Amino acid sequence: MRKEIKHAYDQLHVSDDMTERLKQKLYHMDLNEEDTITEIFDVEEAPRFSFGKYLGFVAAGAVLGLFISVSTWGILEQHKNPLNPKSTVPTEYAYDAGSGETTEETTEETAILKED
Amino acid sequence: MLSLQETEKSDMIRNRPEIQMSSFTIIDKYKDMIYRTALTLVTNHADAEDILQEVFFKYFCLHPVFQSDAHEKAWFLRVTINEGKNLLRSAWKCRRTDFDLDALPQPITNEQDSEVLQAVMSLPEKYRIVIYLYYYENYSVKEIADITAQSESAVSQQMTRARRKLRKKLEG
Repeated sequence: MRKEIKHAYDQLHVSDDMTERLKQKLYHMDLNEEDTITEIFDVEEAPRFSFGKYLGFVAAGAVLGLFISVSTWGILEQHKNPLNPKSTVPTEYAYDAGSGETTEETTEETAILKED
Repeated sequence: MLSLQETEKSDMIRNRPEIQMSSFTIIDKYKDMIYRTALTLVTNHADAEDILQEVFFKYFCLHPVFQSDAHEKAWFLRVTINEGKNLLRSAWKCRRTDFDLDALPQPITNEQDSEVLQAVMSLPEKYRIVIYLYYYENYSVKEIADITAQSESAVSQQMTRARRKLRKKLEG
């Protein structure tokens, strides 16, 4: 295949006439456009879409989102839990674990039981 | 109209003998390679000619310094490929045409050659360029990866697919 491709491509070449035209054009071109060309050359390698990078950004976003959600949820839970020192729930509403009654009532009951 | 200072600068560039000499040598040295690469990418003679002109214009404006001949050749190839890609990207819809052998300035009389060229040019753009660089310019997969700014695995995958497609086209 290499030989065939080489032979076929050898048929493609720039004619003398075209070369002469090119040289003339380049000779008469304004080389002071250098600055513009340099700018074009600098941005020549246009940023290409990279699936890996895209995936990385999505993963990082998801992790960050999850972290924020879990932290927020944790803070809210802390404030909801009456046993937590940071809790904003008033103590009178604090329930003794498992009994379903207020702490004050439970204490009274315990006292009665002790008296008995 | 150019200012006096600009005219002087322009004349200075044109009158420097080493630049004149090197410019004409460099055109003769790389014109065919650039034209073939450009034609492989854009499959259109007129666009390939535009790219050829643009690449040399950049070379004369930038006057890059190269470490070796291989480096120089790779620079020309890279700039040609970038120019071709820019052209395809900028005017993809209105300028994309199928490869037409009759539109070439030099007619290709050999039937086998025209068949091979038609088959190569009918491949997708990314396959055409790797086939050209590998088979005609004798570059290795690693070098092609450097020139086309792709990974080696991507290039070897493209090579395998391009070879398979080309073989199918040439046999069928």
